[in-house]
Amino acid sequence: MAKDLNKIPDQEPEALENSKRIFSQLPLPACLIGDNGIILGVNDEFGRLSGYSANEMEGRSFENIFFERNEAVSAMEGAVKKRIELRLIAKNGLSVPVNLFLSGKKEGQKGNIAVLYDMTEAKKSRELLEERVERRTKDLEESRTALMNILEDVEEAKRAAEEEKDRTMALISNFTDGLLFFDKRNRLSLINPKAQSIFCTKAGEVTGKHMASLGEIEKMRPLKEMLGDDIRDVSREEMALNQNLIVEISTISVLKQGEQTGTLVIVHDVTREKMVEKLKTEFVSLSAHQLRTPLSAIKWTLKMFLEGDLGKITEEQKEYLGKTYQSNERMIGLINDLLNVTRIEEGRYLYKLEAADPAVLVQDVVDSLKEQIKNRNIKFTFLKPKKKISEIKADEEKIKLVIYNLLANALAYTPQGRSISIFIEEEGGEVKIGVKDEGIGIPKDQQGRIFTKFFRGANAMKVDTGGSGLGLYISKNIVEAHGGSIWFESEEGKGTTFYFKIPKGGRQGA
Amino acid sequence: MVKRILIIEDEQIMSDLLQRKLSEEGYEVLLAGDGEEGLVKMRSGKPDLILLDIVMPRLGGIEVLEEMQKEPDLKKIPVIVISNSGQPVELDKAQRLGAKDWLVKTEFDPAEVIEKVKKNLGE
Repeated sequence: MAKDLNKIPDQEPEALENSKRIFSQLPLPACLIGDNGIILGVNDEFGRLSGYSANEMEGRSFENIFFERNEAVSAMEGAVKKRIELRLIAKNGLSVPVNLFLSGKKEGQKGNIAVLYDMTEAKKSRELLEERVERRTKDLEESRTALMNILEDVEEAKRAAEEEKDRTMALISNFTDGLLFFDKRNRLSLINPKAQSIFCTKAGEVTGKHMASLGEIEKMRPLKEMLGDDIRDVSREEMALNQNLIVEISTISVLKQGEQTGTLVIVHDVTREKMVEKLKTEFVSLSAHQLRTPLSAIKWTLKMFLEGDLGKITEEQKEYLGKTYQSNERMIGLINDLLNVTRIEEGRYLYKLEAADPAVLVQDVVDSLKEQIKNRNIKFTFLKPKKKISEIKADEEKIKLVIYNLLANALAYTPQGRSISIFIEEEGGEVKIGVKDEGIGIPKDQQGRIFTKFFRGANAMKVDTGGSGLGLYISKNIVEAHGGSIWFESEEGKGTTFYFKIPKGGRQGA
Repeated sequence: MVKRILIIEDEQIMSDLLQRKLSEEGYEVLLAGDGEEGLVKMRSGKPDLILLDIVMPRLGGIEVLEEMQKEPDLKKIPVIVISNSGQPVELDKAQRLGAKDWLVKTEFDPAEVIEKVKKNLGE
């Protein structure tokens, strides 16, 4: 140390003493560097920081105590005071982060005082901060990625929803039926092109309007009148918008999790079907009428021959003519059945509903079949009700036709010597009429089709080839048009009982 | 006095058969092949009863009844409608237009027609 101090010849001994004291007691690590870059001395704080004692330090090149040697050299050669970050090589070989301050020096002078700030703590906290920032950044990065994923999913879902919507709209727009969607407040929210054309309207004129106010638009009025303001449930109800446009209306409640979100109204154009149906019915009706005229002429002529009005005939001739007369009668029956069917299909079947005594109707039919019952050698009973049966509200001729059909079937399909009975009962608000026979019965596998138009049981065909297969179809239509029902119980080979019920009517009617 | 009956019917065999049957029963019979001829013959022949078909060329039975309603002399002649279809709508209309009775061709035979004629002539 004395050698070094000698190199500062111009300094006063007292000032030098003071300098040394200040230097050694400086609360920061510091070292004294000579002109040649050699460490001349270090203070106690420096020893604490580096782990080296003053003796171990003195005489070493200053730049050698740092990992960044070059930077230390250039710092010492620099003209101005500056602070640089370096890593001090501690005695234990570890690096200690420091900030190096070199006091300013005069031109050409290399001697210097270096003050080191221990940056360990600062660095630690900076690292900690950096780590936290990094972690946070990573978190944010992850969140961002997650968010991006969510956004992508949402985007995807949106795209899928839009595709779905496009598809649905394409379907709705090109649907061959008219479609109208009413929201849950019964306001029209959608009308497809077909419905617009059916109702001769534009979406802009009607969309958003409540069903009640659609009635104010003339073309839409029939729909409002059929469905009402609250849009009642209908299934394939027919509506004539004009003579050349007949549609069938159906409604569907649109539910979402059990809650009604609106009503879909489907308008199906049936004009063509109706036209074809009408033409067919008219054709059958016309031909049946046309057939009746010659059949009447044949009937009358034969009858007059048979009754001798047209001169004497032999017994043999009479027999043939009698059979011809019966064939002709059957033909008239078939034609009548066909006419009845066309009238059912034209929807103008029932004529006048009047109070009628069911016992009288049954008796009339029984009387008209008296001859046949007698000829068939059948035990026939009409179980007359003990007390007076209530009147029914009926088209008498039609109900008589039902009773006739059931009784004629029983007669046709019941073998000689067996029995047939007919009975009337009152059941609640209805009158039940039944025809019970001991005939061939209806095969189980054919029972479901027995009321179908033109259907005939396989065993029935063998017994009687002449039936039209229309009697039960007509009967069912008649009974149902009266608000009644028809059914049967049957066992093949044992017999059949047909029943039908008609609601009471007339004065005692419910 | 012999009662005179006018048959207005376009189907010739039907009117032939009816004429024969009615003549056998002792009635005098006039024939008309359509509604127009029928109106002419009822004005000139003054029949006691008319048997009237509904579906006929030129003038149908319903129109004949309508015409008869306009003329008091014709209005009082009893008419029995002989219908081919037996449609209730048609028969109801005929009855509202003054027809006294009706029968459906496929359901009746000439003997039954005679019964109706007698009944409506109060015989």
